[in-house]
Amino acid sequence: MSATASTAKTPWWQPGPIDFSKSELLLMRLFFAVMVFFNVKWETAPYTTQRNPTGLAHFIDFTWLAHHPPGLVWKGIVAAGLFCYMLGIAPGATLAPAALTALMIGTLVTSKAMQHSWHLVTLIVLAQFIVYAWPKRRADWLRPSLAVHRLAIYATTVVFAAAYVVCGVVKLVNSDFRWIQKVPYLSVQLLKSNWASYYDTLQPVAPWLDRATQAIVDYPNIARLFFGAGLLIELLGFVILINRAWAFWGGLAIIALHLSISKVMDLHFEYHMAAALVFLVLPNVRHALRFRAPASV
Amino acid sequence: MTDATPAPAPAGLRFWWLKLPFRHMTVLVVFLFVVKEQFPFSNFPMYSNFDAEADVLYIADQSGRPIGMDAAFRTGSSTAKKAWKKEVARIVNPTKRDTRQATPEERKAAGAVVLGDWFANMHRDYLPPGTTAVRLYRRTFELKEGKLGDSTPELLAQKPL
Repeated sequence: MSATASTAKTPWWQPGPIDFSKSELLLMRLFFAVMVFFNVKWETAPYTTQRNPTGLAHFIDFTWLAHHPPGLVWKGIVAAGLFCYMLGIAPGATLAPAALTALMIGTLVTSKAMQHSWHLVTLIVLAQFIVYAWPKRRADWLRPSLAVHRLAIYATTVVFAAAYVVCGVVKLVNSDFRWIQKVPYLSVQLLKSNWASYYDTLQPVAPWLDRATQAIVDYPNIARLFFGAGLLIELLGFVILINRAWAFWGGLAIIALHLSISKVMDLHFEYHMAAALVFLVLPNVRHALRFRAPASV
Repeated sequence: MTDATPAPAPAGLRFWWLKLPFRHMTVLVVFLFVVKEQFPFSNFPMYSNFDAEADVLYIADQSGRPIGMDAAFRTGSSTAKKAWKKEVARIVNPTKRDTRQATPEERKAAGAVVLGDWFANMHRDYLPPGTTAVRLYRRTFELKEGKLGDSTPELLAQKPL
């Protein structure tokens, strides 16, 4: 079932790296480099405390970043590193400034209050950094082979899938496996998240909000079908590892999930959608839709 | 040994490792589930459990008119709510109570900490003209007997400019 070169003899449930071409890998690195740079919350000044330390903040005080926010030189080093990473030049070293910056600033920001906008991209950066920094062959360190680049993208997809699957599993466990039954209570959460957006921006809440939330209460089974589909997409997140077609359709489903969350809950996960587009949808569109070059006459 | 000789079967743990479905992802899922919220790791628990009540925090002027938090404080309502919940948890933890059992005084004490923090990072240029004080409110939405509604916002803290 698997369409990958390296896993041709393995069953679909033991997938491995997909045989992306050089140009596909280059484009993925290009888009991802841009994404990483803009994913970093460079404005660190408001984060002067670590009252709720998370991760490395248990051991290291990162509040110096609030007093000395990254300047042009720092940003320049990160950007130059990402440029070299995009070109495939010693990514085990050139990705390091971005990985370290994303880790430090993310830790500081989430040590004030937990937010989940940066986790995925930061985890992917770290996963790729590890792949590039510890290649099997020394020759792969400076100019990684195609196999190493493919492995880095495989690590990316593993992180992507795990993030969605664990999110679904936690929903089941934390709700005592009653998440679907409790869906009508999501109406209250919808009110909360939409009003939270109002208090952020003072833009009026959507005029349909009251009707939509009451409809969830009045038609609970239809609501369970709708939100249950979202839970299913999360729990089945592992399918994106199977092959290119599954990656494409799984990526589209994840984007659809986030678009509907954006619309209904006013919660926006742009970087998750961008990552799905870059790593899952765009590189696999031809294979999934089985476009073929016209036969020569 | 010729090329046709089959490779020896992996033994022990390696055997089971190779048999594990989606093995790298499965291990990472277990890891994230166990580690929970330690940046950059997370089990992504958003909306994993909910009940008939949900609350939102906002900052307003002295008369209770909301102030756009993104512009004036560079961080939004949900961040304030999470910081406040952490503070409430810190206050009620010694008595091993749930944050939902916090008394009004304990909620206010946590609110004072959060408003103090937000006040320190306030961009005064973005406050509405005539603002003389900022207030932190908590608004609770609830589903009761099939109807959605919300209560009068609870004043958690206030700080004069």
